[in-house]
Amino acid sequence: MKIWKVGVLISVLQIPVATAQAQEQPEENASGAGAPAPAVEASEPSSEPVSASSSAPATSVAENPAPSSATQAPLNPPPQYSTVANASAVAVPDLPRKTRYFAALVMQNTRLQDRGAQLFSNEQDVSGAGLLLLAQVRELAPKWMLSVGGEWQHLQTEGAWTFGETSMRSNTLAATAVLRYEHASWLRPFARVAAGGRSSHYKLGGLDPSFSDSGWAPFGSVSAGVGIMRAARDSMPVGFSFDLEGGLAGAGEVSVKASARGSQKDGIIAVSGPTVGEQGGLTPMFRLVFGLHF
Amino acid sequence: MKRLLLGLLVSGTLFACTEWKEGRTPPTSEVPAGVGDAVALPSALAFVEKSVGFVHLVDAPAGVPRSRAVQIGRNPVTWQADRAAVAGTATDRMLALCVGEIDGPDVDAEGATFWLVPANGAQPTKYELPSRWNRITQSPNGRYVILSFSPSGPSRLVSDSVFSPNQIAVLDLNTPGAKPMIRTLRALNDIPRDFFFSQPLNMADGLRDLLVVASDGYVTLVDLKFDGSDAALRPLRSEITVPLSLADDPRRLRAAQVLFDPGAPADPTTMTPRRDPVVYLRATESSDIIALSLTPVPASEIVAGKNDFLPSLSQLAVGGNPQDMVLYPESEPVVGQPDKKVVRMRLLVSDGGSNIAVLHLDSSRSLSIPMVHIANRILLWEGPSPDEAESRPRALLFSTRGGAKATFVDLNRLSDFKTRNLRPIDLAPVNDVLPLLNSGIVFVKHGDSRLSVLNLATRTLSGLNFALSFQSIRRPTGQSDLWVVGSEADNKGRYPLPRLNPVNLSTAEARLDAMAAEIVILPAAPGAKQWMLVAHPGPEGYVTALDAATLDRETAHSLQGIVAVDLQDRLSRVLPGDKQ
Repeated sequence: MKIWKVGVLISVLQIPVATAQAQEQPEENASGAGAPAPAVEASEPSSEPVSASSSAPATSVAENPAPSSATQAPLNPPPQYSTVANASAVAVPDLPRKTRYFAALVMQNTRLQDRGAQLFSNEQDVSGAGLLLLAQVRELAPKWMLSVGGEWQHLQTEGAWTFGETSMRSNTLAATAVLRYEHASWLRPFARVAAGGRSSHYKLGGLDPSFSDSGWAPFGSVSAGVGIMRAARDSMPVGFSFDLEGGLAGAGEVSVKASARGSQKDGIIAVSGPTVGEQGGLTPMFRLVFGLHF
Repeated sequence: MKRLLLGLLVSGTLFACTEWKEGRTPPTSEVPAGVGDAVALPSALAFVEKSVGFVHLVDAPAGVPRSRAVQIGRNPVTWQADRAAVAGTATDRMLALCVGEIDGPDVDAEGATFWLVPANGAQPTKYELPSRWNRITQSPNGRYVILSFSPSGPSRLVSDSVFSPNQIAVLDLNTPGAKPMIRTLRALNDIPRDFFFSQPLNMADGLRDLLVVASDGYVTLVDLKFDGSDAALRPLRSEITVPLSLADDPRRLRAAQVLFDPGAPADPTTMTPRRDPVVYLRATESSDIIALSLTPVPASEIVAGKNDFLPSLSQLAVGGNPQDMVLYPESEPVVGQPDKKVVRMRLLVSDGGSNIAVLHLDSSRSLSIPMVHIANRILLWEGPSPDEAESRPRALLFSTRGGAKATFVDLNRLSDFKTRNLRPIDLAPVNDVLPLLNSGIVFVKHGDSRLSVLNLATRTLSGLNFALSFQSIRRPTGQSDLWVVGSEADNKGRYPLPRLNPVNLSTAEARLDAMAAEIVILPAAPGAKQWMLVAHPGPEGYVTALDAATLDRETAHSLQGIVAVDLQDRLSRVLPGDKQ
């Protein structure tokens, strides 16, 4: 794999990890103060006289002042309501929101198993990109969510043959279903299946005219992975996620029977092109999915 | 715990990414991409893909071209149809010589190999070779194959740092399983340049084949009788090296043409003594014909490993600069026995000018006869003439260097009748000739758009004019019709492929979408439609199959891109080994 891919991977990983840590901090503070309820309680004005010692917890929640400042407070200190009221924006909880839709940019890496398939690729590992759209349809059980949708994948490779360059361009359209388990608000393992069709175009260049062929084949994939996410909140209605996914993708075998373009004009002796070989089959894949939840 | 989990996840991902290795690209080579010129085999067209070492064999079952690839060694440098197969004495196959590969980055080393590739796509026969030879020379009957280095040196593509230019390999294709006989010829400061095979010669112990190797200044006689008692052929006798000039002669004579008089055993009925085999050499830069008489060594003097014959050299003066020669028999009545005849060998030599020389080889008598034109080629046949129904040796002398005349020569008693046996005719300047001696005709090519058909019996000349220029004439194996290949496109963009009937000179033509370079008439079962294959020039490999009888375009079918047939599978077989 190219170094830049590793670099992108690392940088991408850092974002959600940092996000996850940022989410952990308020949760730890809240748990340190007991249940979230007292924090809400502290934000409410008290009708009883407030002593210096009893007001300390409230101020500590609000601004966390040093205890010495409380001992040096005047005997009739002004009410602290204003201070607590000023912190109301922080104190109001930013609860995770339920989101139903998911749109994602998918970076996919596929390893070509058949050495013959390298006719159309200079590298054994080929990369492509695509889009994934999902909608939650049902909660199968607590924390188990089923989503369905569609995806589009584009893959383009270049190789070499006797006379020059070869190329393969494929577009895959598939319906997909994803089953996610909400282990935590930021960590969601999942499994995915997809089925659809793949349109491929093959070209053997370097000759004039060049040889080319196109074909359709059924497509399917099975994969599993883990998603790291920052869920949508009241303050940010869109959630972000990053998924790592691995599995197998398979496409039906297509017989690549190349023909020279423009050689089938009227009056020309019927011309057959060479049958180059079979493309398709089962390949392992690895995907990085950058998603938006809304 | 969560950080640990994330760390493991990142580490695992990076590990998985770095574990994936780069693939390999197809091997690239310095040789021209694609297939070379088509080779016409009796039952298929063969295309050799030099860059990766594949032979593509094309036939046309049911009229649709089909290509099958046969893998041979890396870097094939020369190939040809098997002469024995063309002559119909062996299964249809082609010969290919590969120089292999030397070790390099991403390239596995491979030794030189010689291949017999059956035309039906069956498993080829492989001979492993100790040297990276780059030339094939096959005997006319197809039995022997000589592998040698080209006079210009080893292959520029792949060669070892050291090679022995005088080393050759001899293969006897009639001995299945026999390994090549490797031999380093004795040299006199030169290398083998040409090889000439004899017909079976009447040696003292019976018929035997001889190989004459021509070098600058000398020839080498190699006895092709081997000890074939085991898989490896072993030469029974050492070779004989014969200098063609004296040590103080500044000329470096080289045999340019070699003829063999096979000799004859003694005939008691005519009191004719044994006639020893003789090798006649026409050498460059020499006005003489050199005769090497192969005299048997007395049985009591034969040494094991040495030869049982001894060449004795004599020079036959001709004058001028001999350009061609033919050997023919002449029957003479036996003195005192008029009903019996004895065969005397004669040599007819064209001196490159306007004279011909007749050499009586039994008496060394020489006679020069003038002609009315210059000539540098002699065509010999046996047949009748307008004045004589009896079949006798006759010759046609013509020039390929201009001139508008040719001369028929009746060789019987030429020394007696001299110019009275010469019949000049008008003949436009000749580019090339295609003799069909069984049919008694000769096709003569003039320029690039005209043919003449010369009837040898009636000595009539018929012309065939072509609207378009063409390259050459082909006569497919086992066929009587001729095909004119290499025609340019007409004003409709079609490429004519004319067919000529040599008997009645009727013509027909196919009109193709690309130039015809080579043709094969495919064998057909009795009563079945016969298809022909036409190869078109181009590195991608392009053929058209059409009905050989009707030449109909409607039923024709082409295959373009032979080089890419099964490319994916072949690519996976020739990619470098699992070095990754």
